[in-house]
Amino acid sequence: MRLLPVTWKWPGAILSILGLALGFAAELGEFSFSWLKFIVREKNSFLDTAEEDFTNEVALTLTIVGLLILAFTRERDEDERVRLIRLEAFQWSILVNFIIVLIGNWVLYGGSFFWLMTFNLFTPLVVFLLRFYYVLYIRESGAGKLNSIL
Amino acid sequence: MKNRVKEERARLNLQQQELAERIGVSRQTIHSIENNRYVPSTVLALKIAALFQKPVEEIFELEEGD
Repeated sequence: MRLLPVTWKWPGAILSILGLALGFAAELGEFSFSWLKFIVREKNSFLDTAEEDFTNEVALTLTIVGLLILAFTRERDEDERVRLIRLEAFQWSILVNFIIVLIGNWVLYGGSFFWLMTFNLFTPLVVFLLRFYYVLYIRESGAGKLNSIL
Repeated sequence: MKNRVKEERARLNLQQQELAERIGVSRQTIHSIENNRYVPSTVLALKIAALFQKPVEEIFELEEGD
């Protein structure tokens, strides 16, 4: 699979940090941009209000697009070994993600489970990035010292 | 899979970085191959063998369990 040039890393990092910051501010701090509020329904209903705030939609879009860019940007020295580490990190992140969902399914209820699902919208990419860079730059670094500790 | 990349590289007096550049991979990949942490693809194994001017079986050898 063709990957994005290495120069895309910074835009990816900036977008995901902006998205995460906006997301936390919107969900936890009830922050919203007034210009992102639109009337989308005729009247309020039990679950939905007539006016919809699109701040969290923008936040999730920035987060996912930023993380996708980061995950699909090549390394400076991308070669077949890096590609293998990349693929294995994707496999690993899917496995870890579903283990977390299964555990959450049994130990978290109601609002807590809703929070887990909300994080789950982008955590597979976060787990992938953590695993990929851990294996690439720590476990496989050949530095030896860090490797024996971890 | 065992390999003789380190010995062959020493024979040609090449640094890991030089070998890496000649076959188009990172130095870390050469390091990983030499330490049996990474098994190269057929294409890469053939490139390494071609550079050392030896048949690929003289550089790479199957081990029990492979």
